[in-house]
Amino acid sequence: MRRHLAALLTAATALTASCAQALPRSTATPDRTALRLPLDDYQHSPIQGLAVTNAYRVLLIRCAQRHGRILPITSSPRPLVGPRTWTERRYGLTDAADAASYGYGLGPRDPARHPPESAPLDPATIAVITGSGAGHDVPPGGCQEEARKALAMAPAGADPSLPEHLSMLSFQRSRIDSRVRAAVEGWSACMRAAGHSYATPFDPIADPAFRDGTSEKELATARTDLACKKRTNLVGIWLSVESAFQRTMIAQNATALRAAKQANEITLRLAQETLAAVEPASAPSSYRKSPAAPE
Amino acid sequence: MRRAIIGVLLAFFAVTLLSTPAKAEPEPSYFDKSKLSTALQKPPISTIMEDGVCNWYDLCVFESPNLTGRMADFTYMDTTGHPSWATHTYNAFIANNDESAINAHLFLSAYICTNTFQSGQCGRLVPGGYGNTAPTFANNSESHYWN
Repeated sequence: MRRHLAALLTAATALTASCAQALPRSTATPDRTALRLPLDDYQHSPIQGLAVTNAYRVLLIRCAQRHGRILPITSSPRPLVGPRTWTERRYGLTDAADAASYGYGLGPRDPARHPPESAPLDPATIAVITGSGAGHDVPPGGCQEEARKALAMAPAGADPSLPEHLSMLSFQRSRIDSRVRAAVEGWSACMRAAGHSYATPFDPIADPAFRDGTSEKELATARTDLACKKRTNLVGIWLSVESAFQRTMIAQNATALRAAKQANEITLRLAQETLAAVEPASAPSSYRKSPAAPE
Repeated sequence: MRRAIIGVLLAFFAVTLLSTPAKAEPEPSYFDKSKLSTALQKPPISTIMEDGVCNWYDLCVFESPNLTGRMADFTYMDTTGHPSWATHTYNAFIANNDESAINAHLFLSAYICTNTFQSGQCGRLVPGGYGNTAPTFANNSESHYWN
């Protein structure tokens, strides 16, 4: 009971601190690169996550080859699919250049534009990869486990996914925050005044009328969307509210987050070294020697 | 006298309260715990490509925890991601109705997002990763992609 009361007191203090924080008065929508949340410093960005995946694939290919198996993938770095940052589409459409080119779509980063690369695998190759049903020469967990260990993806004493977990929670909390809800209502009213009926900034993204980003209606709606975000400062308010939640979480989980950040930095460094050893001349610069903090 | 007693009780209560620091427990995650081990029993994963079966390369999403209950299998071989689960021919039932998932893709991470078209917040499952959706985020997914 005392712990519950103490936790409530802590939560109330955190909430008061969050509420007391002044919201930004600027009505300028921050550009994509300026949209950063405090927890972004502790986790891989999408681009860095892709570098880890690319290195994982390289290690998997090597391991399978040692066991006489050729995988239906290459060691060439894959292009980024999906958002470039964790905030790019977090509050709906935010990037003016993307909006002008792709409307609500992702353009060349649309997953639908990337055909599947892999062919079905035979059971013996799957066994080598997963370790299930493999011969004695394959280690427990197979090549999957070997690659994960080589990249230190599951270190003892740290949970590398904790920043993402907390980021999930701050996002959910911010969605129901009264200040964010008021800003969303303001944005919705602005859109309605321009002839568009959407309750939330996620609704136009889901509008079945918008699919490929090529219609003038979609592009015009995207322009109006961003103009309304600027007028109501929706993104600035949402980012500020969520940042306050995240700062409180960082203070409450400082030790665990430091460990997570260090673990993610180690994994990224190992991934960069793996990729650099494969194709030092052709590997994109984003895979080399960038800090753990995302772009 | 009564005021004095109340005052003493309040002081005692305040001292007791403040002397017990709130333990900073890690908050629950989108995936309660993304597993790399085999702590959960993985479902049998088939090499036969057909809807309704969890195949290698699929993202298999379940309506109940621990990879149980009705399952939606999003097949990588058909699409490299799905922008709106609610509009999927077979798997629409799982939109905002998911409590666990496994990324049966062997070479790519899966990202599951709270909103359509890869918007909102996205949670990552590494190749072979699986886990339960935490209560806070259960029944709150609408799209995914592999990368």
